[in-house]
Parts: sequence; structure tokens; C-alpha cells
Amino acid sequence: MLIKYIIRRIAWSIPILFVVSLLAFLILQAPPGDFITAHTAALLSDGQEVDYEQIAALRQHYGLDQSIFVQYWKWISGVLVGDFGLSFEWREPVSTLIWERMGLSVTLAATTVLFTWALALPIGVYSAVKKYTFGDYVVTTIGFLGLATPNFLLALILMYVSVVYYGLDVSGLFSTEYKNAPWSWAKVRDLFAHIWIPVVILGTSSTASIIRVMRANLLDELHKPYVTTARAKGLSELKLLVRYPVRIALNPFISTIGWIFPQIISGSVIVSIVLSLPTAGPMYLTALKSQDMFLAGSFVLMLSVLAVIGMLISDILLGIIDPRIRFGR
Amino acid sequence: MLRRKLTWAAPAVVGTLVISPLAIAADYQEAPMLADLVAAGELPPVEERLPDNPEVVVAHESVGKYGDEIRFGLSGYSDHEQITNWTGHNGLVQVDYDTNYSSTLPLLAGEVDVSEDASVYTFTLRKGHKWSDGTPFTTADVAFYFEDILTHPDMAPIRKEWLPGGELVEFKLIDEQTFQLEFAVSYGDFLFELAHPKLVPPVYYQKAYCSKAHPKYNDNLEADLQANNMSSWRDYLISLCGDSLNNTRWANVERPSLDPWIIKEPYTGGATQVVLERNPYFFQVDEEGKQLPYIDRLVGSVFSDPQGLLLHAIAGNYDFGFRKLESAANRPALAEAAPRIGAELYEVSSIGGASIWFQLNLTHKDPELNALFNEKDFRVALSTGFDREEVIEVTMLGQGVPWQGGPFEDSPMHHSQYSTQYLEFDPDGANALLDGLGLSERNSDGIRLMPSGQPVAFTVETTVAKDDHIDQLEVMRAHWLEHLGVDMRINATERALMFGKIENNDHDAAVWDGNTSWLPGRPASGLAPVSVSSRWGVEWYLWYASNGERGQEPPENVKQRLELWDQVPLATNFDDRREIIHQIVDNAADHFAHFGVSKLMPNYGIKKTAMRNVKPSNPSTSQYPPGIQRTWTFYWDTEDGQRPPSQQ
Repeated sequence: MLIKYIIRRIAWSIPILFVVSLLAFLILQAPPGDFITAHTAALLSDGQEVDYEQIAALRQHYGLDQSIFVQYWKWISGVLVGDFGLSFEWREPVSTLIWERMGLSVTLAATTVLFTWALALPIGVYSAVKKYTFGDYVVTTIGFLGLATPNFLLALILMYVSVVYYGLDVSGLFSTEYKNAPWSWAKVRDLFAHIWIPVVILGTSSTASIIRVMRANLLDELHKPYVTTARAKGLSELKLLVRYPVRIALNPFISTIGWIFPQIISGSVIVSIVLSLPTAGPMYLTALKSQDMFLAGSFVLMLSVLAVIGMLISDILLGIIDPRIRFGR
Repeated sequence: MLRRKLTWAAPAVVGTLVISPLAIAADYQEAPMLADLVAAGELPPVEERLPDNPEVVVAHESVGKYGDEIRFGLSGYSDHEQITNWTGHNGLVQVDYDTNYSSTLPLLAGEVDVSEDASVYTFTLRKGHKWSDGTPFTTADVAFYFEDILTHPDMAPIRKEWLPGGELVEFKLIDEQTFQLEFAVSYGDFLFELAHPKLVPPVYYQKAYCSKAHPKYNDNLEADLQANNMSSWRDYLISLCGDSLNNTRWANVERPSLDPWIIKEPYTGGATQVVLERNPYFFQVDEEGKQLPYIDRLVGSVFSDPQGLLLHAIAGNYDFGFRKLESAANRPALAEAAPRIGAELYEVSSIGGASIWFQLNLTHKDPELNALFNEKDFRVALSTGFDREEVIEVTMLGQGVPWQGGPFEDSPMHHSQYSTQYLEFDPDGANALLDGLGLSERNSDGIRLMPSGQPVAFTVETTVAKDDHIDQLEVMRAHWLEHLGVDMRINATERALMFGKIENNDHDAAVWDGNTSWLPGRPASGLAPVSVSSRWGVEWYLWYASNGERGQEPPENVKQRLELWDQVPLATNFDDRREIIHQIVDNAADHFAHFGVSKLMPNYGIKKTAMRNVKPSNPSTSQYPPGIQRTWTFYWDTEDGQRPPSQQ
């Protein structure tokens, strides 16, 4: 049953991805101008001169004078065999550019999710169980503060304070000597010496919201008759809590795993830019801004693939965790 | 404000330019870093690395000490110009900072000989000059550019700097060291054009390395292209050698180069740090025979966010520079941090122009607005219908001088009428002019009406990146609304959107920086519609650029200016050139096509106090990057010549 369900879901995702890729390409083309317009604008802003003949020649060289469907076909036919094309701006293969940065993006996203869950779920449980106590008010207050503070602002303030008062540079993910060094254990250690800052910054608001959601979910469950029954049968408080209401209260988190996947790229764009992190987000934004079609298009395609995979995973996990959910109906 | 007197000594370009030969022949010194390599047998000794007659440079302040590194910042992923500013400004000749850009000096060319009529230029390269890989730099490399790249049909179109009078430059190879460039007409501007960073390519491509991508030299090209997943040799050439004018120039660490520092950690997509290291074969020495540059390494950190760059600076990690830092908004933060990080503010001067350059679209698609904008009285009324003093007071902290545009008084190019006419605030006079244009009817909001009954309303295009422009426009808008009954709306968008709209001639009006010098090397887009920056006459420019095939034919006075403009580069000496320019300016001043608000005032970057040989100020245009100061003579005035700590 489960296997059949997974196969059907995967089969469905192919036409979905095709439509998404076409839509993405069309939407990316929607703003007036193209890569050459953006490129020209950048040159002019730098006080350089460009002339129309050169602009036209560049447009022809990049194939931007062709119809959008021709351009789409050129791109997607390459994608099918694993060739994502050359980035206009960097004249490098798109796949090299993206993969170089994806590893760090995944590391950052995974660490952030683990950090927030490890922190937020127990706190959420605590503040539900100890509703309206001093402890609950304290975590609730901290939670609301975290929710209300924009991540990027927190990052800016943290950077400013550490630079001006402590002489520390907290941006980036590596120290100067490791930035372009090949991977080694020392570099990994250096990464984990730096990664906690973006993790904490990125984690604050989601920690806060997870605390609130967990608290609300659990409060719904705690007063249900099955809890009372279990308690009446003499189950220990901790065992009771973890085995039944918490498991049910976790449902919404499992079903949102699907949203976390695309966030590997798009979730931390602004913070990554502010902190100059070598992750995929800033490059995605740059590609969109400079209308670097193949690079931006590949990012959008990848976001969609990640979303589809994420949804699939969360559906499967839900089925495993919550037996009430049945497949295939 | 520091500004030196502009003096134009002799006719600037004609004659032979020679740098004094070295007095002390064989007594060269090198950086400890290179001496170690020589001792280890990995590098030939310095005498063999230098040309037979290395260029001797007298630094601005003093002979320097060898030192470790200079740090700087890069803003995002298209800031290649920042690197070029430091090391990439290495053409055949360079513009002379000390004569206020009014003459040129030989650089990679040891000697330049110009014919009497300025049509034949003979360049002599230094014997024994070597690329960074140790192979000789000869006229074969230059020939490769002219014969195989510039003129290759796939590389069309050819830059117009190579086509004076419509005729392509002729390259003549004389011997290993000597070549000639011959033009069909006199071309007095040529050395200035050649000194511009945009004309580095003749000495940019090493034939041995770059010809691997060229169909004429590589018989296995198809296979190589396939192996690299590319479809055209141009893409392959760029991946090997880059393009001297964009990011790709700094992407390949293997490309041989003639620059003082060469790329070690490349500026590729996603780089967070760029490192350049000294070129052991750089051809210049100081007066004591020390090979330049003094500094081993340039280390640039890449910041996606401009605030990150600013923080980098106030953390003391930006040793010298102003690009992307020099805004009025950043000035207090830099000034506050300066004592803590052992730095001082560095003046970024302007050589002319206005803080804001207001251009109505004189080729507007709407016939009624077109007719109105083309009335000189309307433009005069707008110019005199707002109070420049108040704009300066409110938006520029009182630091400004009312100015319409054009070079400042101390420039020989200065034109008093052009720069200072119609500056006084005269609402009564302006209203009389508007009444005289038949705009006396007003609607219930007090906005004047055109004969068709439409209000006199238009939108000015600007970009969100220039908040100082928006501030100034806000005051102008209020004044025009209150005093004239003219409704101007401000549309601040992303710059590519703004330029796209203007390229399509869909704008009513536009503002932009008014950096103007009328010096060689840059089109005077305010005087005549000669570049895409002439946003007041987009269709006229199109007509001019396409030789009348497209666009709209301009009126007679504009045509006269365009004809004169074609004469400008051909003038054989500076006085003749100025004469022609001023004829154009006389005509343009009478036409009064556009106007300004205040003089373009200097901005500030940052410089570490311990850094020596930095000249007191530098203009902020890409035409005169800090490279014209010979950044490779900068050094640290510390005990051991090493970089002082970032913070004190």
C-alpha cells in the first residue's frame, strides 16, 4: 500500500515539475527587460558607457533575442540531461555554482531546524503543562519578543555590537584562513565555531512560534478524556505525556516538514545576505536581480523539487507516526 | 575642500613621452617573499625577471617598505571594478594624475611616439618585459588582440574608440618590441581613450595561453569545447582569459597577466574572499631599484549587503577605498570609527557636474507634452521656479553651491553661462513665462492646464538606490506645486526598471548623477545626445548612433552640436579640442535642454593613517580609478612595514 502510494506520488510530481518549470520561466521573464538590461544598468551606475550596438550584440550572443519558448526549450532540454546551462553573469555552469553552495545551505538549515526543535519543543511542552505559572509567563514573554524581532535586524545589531565593542567580526561561516581552503577537519571545526551565530539568529523567531504552536496543540489534548482515562489507570505523568498527547501535538510539525525543505534555499536569504554567508540564498537573490535566467530558473526548479520531496516525506512520516492516517484513499 | 589648480601645460598629446631611464642599473631589490623563492630556486633572480629598462617610479611621498597585506571590501557579486581599481588599470598608457588628467604617461609601452597630425601612434614595448608566468611579453601578444580578437567577425561590433571617422584602426607590426596604430584621420583623443580602463584589451591577452580558445590556433577546438561543455569559442575564451571589463577577468587564477598583483583566490560566483598576490615579474621599480609593488597581498572580503561592507570598514578591515562606501549617509559612521581604527576620512573629489541632473524627455511620445517640454521657456520656468538654497539647506546639510552642471570654475573647460544661468529663484518671472506659454488656466487643485485641458503633470524617473536624489526631488516637487502649479510625481524604482523604461523612451523625465568634465575619454552626454546617458534625447541619440536609420531626426541646433561632436576626437591638440567643445557648449547653453541643482560635492571614503604614498584625493568616476595613483606604491609606514592591527 505504502509503496504504491509513493510510486503514484512520484509519478504525479513529474507533470507538476514540468508545469512549475514552465511557469517559473514565464514569471522570471515577466519583469520588463532581461539580463542585458540589468547588466547595462549596472554598467551605467558605475559610470561606464555602453552603446546600443553592443547591447544588441550581447543580446544576440546570449540568445535573448529569441522567443521565450525557444529559450525555455533550450534550457529545459539541457536540464533533462543534467546540463543547467551557463550562468550569464558568471559564465560558469549553473550546476557548479549551485552545488558549491548547497552543502552549506543544507548544513545551516538542518542545524537550525535541530536547534529550534531541540529548544522549542520541550519549552512548549513545559509551558503547556505548567499553564499560567511564572515559568510559562517568562517563556511566553521571551517567545513573543523573539517572534516580534526581525531576524535581519537582530543580525545587524549583533554584528554592530560585536564589531564596535568587542572588535569581533561575526559575519561569514569561516575564519579568513579557511575561507577558500580545501575541506579538512580543521575547517569543519572552524565552521562549527561560526555557524552557531546564524543558527541562533535564524532560530529565534521560529523557536518562538514553535513554542506557541506546541503549547496550543498540547493544551487542546491535555483535557481530552483519553488523558484522564490513562491517568486514572495509573500511568506515570511523564510516560502519559510523551506517549499520547505530545505525539498527537507533533502532527502539525511533521506535516510542515514539506515547507522546511524549500526554506533551505529561500528561508534565510536576508539573514544570509546581512551576515555574508556563503550559502545559496544570496546567490538566488542576485540571480533574480540580474535576471540571470538559467541560474534563477534552476533555483526555482530546485525549490519546487525540494517542496515536492518535502511534501512526500511529510506525508509518509505522518502515516508512520499517526496510524489514523491511511494511504491511498 | 582640497582642489588643486588645473593647469594645461603644453599641447598634451603630441610629442614623445619617455620616462627617465634607471640610474642604478643592476642593483635591484625584491620583496622578502620573492627572495625566499629565488633562494629556493623556484624563481629566477630579480634582474632576470625585470625588463632591461624597468620603469622607474617616483612615489608620491617616499620610498616604501615591503609589507604583508592590504585589506578591502567588495560589495556583492558584480563589484569587479573594485579589484580593477587596485590592480587592473594597466594599459599601454595611463592618464597623469599630477597634470589633472590633462596628459598621459606611457605605462606598459616604454615609449609612445605620436605623429605630427596625431594619426600614427608608434608604441615600443620594453625589451625583456615578462608575463606573470615568466614568458616574454611582445608585440605578438598585441597582434593577437588586434588581428584575431578585435577584428574577428564573431566579436562584432567593434568598439567605436577603434573607429574614429568611421575607419577601423590599422595595426602594423614592426618588430618584437615595436608596433604602430594608424588611423585614417587625426585622432588627438586616442591616448586618453587608450588610458581608460576600457581599452586595456590590447595588452590583456597572452597569445600563448588565450589562443587555445581561438579557432585559428586550436585544431582540436571542437573537442575542447565539448570537453568543457561549451558551444562557442567566445565562451571558451572567456572561461580561459575572462573579459577585461567584467567579473570573469578575476575568475581564472591561471591566466597570465601583466598587472602588479595577480589573482590567487578568484572572484567567482559565491566567493566570500578574493586574494591577489604580487606579480613577481612586474616591470616597475622605485628610485632605489626596489621592485614594486611594496605590498605582498590584497585581501578582499565579499559582502552581499552594503551594511556588511560598512561594518567591515568600521571594524578596521577596509584599509583604503571609497567605492560603495562614499555616501553622505555613511559619513558619520566612518568619521566616528576613524580614530578607533587608526584611519582618516579620504576625500572623493568631483571634477565637475551637478548633484542632480534633471532631464525632461525632449523626444516624448505624447505630442502635447513633447511640445511643452521643447519650449525653452518651460524649462527656464522650472529651473527658476524652485529655491536651490533651500534644497541645499534641507537635503545637503547646507553643503552645496547652486549649479546647473558642467566643470567647475578652476577647470579650463569651465563655461560660465552653461553652469550658472537661470539659477536664481524667481517665482514671479517663472509664472509669467508659464502664463506666456498659454498655461494660465488652472484646475481646482491649482494645477495649470494645457490647452487640451490636461493638467501640467509629469513623472520623473529615479532609482531607490539614490536616496539623496529622492530627497532633492521631494523639495523641488513641493516648490513647483506651491509656486508654479506644476505637478511633478517621483517614481523611484529599481535601476534596471528605470533604465529599461528610458531605453524604450517611455519616460517623462529622469534624473541621474551629473558628473561632467568634458575631458577626453568620455562622451559629453549633456552637451549633445551622444550616449545612452543622454536621457533628455533618447530618440535623437538613437538617430545619431544608427547614422539616421532609426530614432528621430533632431532639430537643427542639436544636429549642429552632433556634427561638432564628431570633430572633437580628431582635434590634434588640447586647445583646438577645447575650442570645439566650447562651440558646442555655447549652443547647448542657449538651448538649455536640462538643468542641475547644486555642485556635485565631494564624498568621503576611508584611508588608514599609516598608509603612505596615497594622494590627497581621488575622483569617483570609473574613468579615473585609484590605479592612476599607482596603488602599487602604497605601503605601511610601520616599524616592520607590516599591516598594523585592524583596531587600536
